[in-house]
Amino acid sequence: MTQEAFAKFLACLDANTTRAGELYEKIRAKLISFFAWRGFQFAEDHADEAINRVIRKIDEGEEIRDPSTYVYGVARMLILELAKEREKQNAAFDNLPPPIAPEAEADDDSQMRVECLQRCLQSLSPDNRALILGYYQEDKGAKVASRKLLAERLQIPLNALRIRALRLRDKLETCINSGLQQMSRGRSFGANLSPLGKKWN
Amino acid sequence: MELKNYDEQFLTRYLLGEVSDAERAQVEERFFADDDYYQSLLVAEDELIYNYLCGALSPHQRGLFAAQLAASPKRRDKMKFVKDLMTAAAANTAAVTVAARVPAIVTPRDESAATPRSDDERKSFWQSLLAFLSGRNAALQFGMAAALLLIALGGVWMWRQSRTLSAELEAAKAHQHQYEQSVRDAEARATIEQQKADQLRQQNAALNDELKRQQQVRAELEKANEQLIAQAENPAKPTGLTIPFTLEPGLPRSDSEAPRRLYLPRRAAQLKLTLALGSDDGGGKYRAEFSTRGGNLIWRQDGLSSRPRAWGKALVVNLPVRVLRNSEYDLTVKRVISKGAFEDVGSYYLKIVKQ
Repeated sequence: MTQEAFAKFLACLDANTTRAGELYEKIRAKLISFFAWRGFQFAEDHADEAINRVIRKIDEGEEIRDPSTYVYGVARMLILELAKEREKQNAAFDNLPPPIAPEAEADDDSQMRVECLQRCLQSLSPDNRALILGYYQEDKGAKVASRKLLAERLQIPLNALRIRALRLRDKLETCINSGLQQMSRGRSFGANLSPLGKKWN
Repeated sequence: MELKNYDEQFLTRYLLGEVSDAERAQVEERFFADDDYYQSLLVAEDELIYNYLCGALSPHQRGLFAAQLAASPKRRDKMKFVKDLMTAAAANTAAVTVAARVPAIVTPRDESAATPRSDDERKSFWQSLLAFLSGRNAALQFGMAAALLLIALGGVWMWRQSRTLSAELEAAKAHQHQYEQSVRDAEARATIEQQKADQLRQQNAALNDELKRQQQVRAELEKANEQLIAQAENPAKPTGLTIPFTLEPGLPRSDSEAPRRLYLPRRAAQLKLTLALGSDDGGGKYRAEFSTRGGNLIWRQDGLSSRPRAWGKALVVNLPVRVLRNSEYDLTVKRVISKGAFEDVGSYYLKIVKQ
């Protein structure tokens, strides 16, 4: 894929480059969810493959009126191909003896993730920190009541609370991933962390 | 953007893979076109993960979710993240709870803490903590703060360990359950196949028996057919016994003398009568007539010729037994003089007794 072809694809999404970039991210996120919810392991790789195919088509001169729908169509075709491949793999795996025990999943970055989360939480505004921590309290019995209370305190409907929590969670996730990358490169994380959450106050 | 009230149960079913292909295609088409709808799916997924970690899913949903976790690293990452958030939220709650209990365990030397206060005088936790920390005994304050911190950290660490272990245990249980289920399924399939094979074997044996029986019937039928054909081609000789009997003509039949008795066994089919003609045999063709004592003709045979015997000429008559009853009969022999004209040459009498 060339830079020029990618630019054509972005232009197809929106004439404004910034908005096109946002749309691209949105489509990619949806594609990743699409493949993940269909149970494919490498959802991001498949999402990128679907986008690459669309870019190739655009580069070849195909006119696309509704990129979202078009991308979805391409993703569905790709799913069919992947399903066939998966069937072949499953057939091959069926001939193998069953595993004696499930492989333990490596979770070496667990401690680092917790550290990053603490720092990212600290970078949130007090209200947002209270919101996200209140939202994810573990007591399932008190969950409904505590969320209702949170929504009342913030004077927003319950659905708005849920979407706000989801966005804060996304931002925290981005913050943690960035922190993990920095820590893995041996840099300290958190010193120059800009406060999160102000935008959503 | 406001989240609309979509049917969350349906979205959850989609995320657990419990919808039909058509419904799944509808959901996918819609979330690609509608950002709100996509957001609601993300929220539903978040809720699903949260409920899984809280143990709020039904066993069926839990099984489905655990199976998806095994196949989706993306969802595992999300679950880890939500778990961390829940841990942080719990730690926050624990810290607040422990800190709120601090005044109750403060040493009596701290007068301000030890003195009972009225409700009006009661300060907030943060105010109390601040007052405590700004007191006179710096070493004690530092020690208490360090102890508090240690208790809080220890509690959080233990809680996290417990959560991690229980989550791992759940995952292992789910995996084991899945494996056991698949083994059970395979065993059930094998049993069904075995039953089918047995059934087929039984059917096959029954068909073989039926085939043998049919072959036997066919052989018998062929044999019977051959016999019938043979009978048709070669008329059968009379079956049963042939009883030979010799009669002489004109035996005296006075009132005091009974006619000759002829005892016929049941199996007798034919009566072979040898009729002595006497000395006046003129040759030619003869007729024999068999009548009852009342004069009813019951049997007749034409075209008979005399045959030589040691004691003279005789006629041999073959009479079917079925025409005879237990009765007395007259047998008349006539010689053909010309066409349609006869002359009597002898009469015979006998009594038939069937045994």
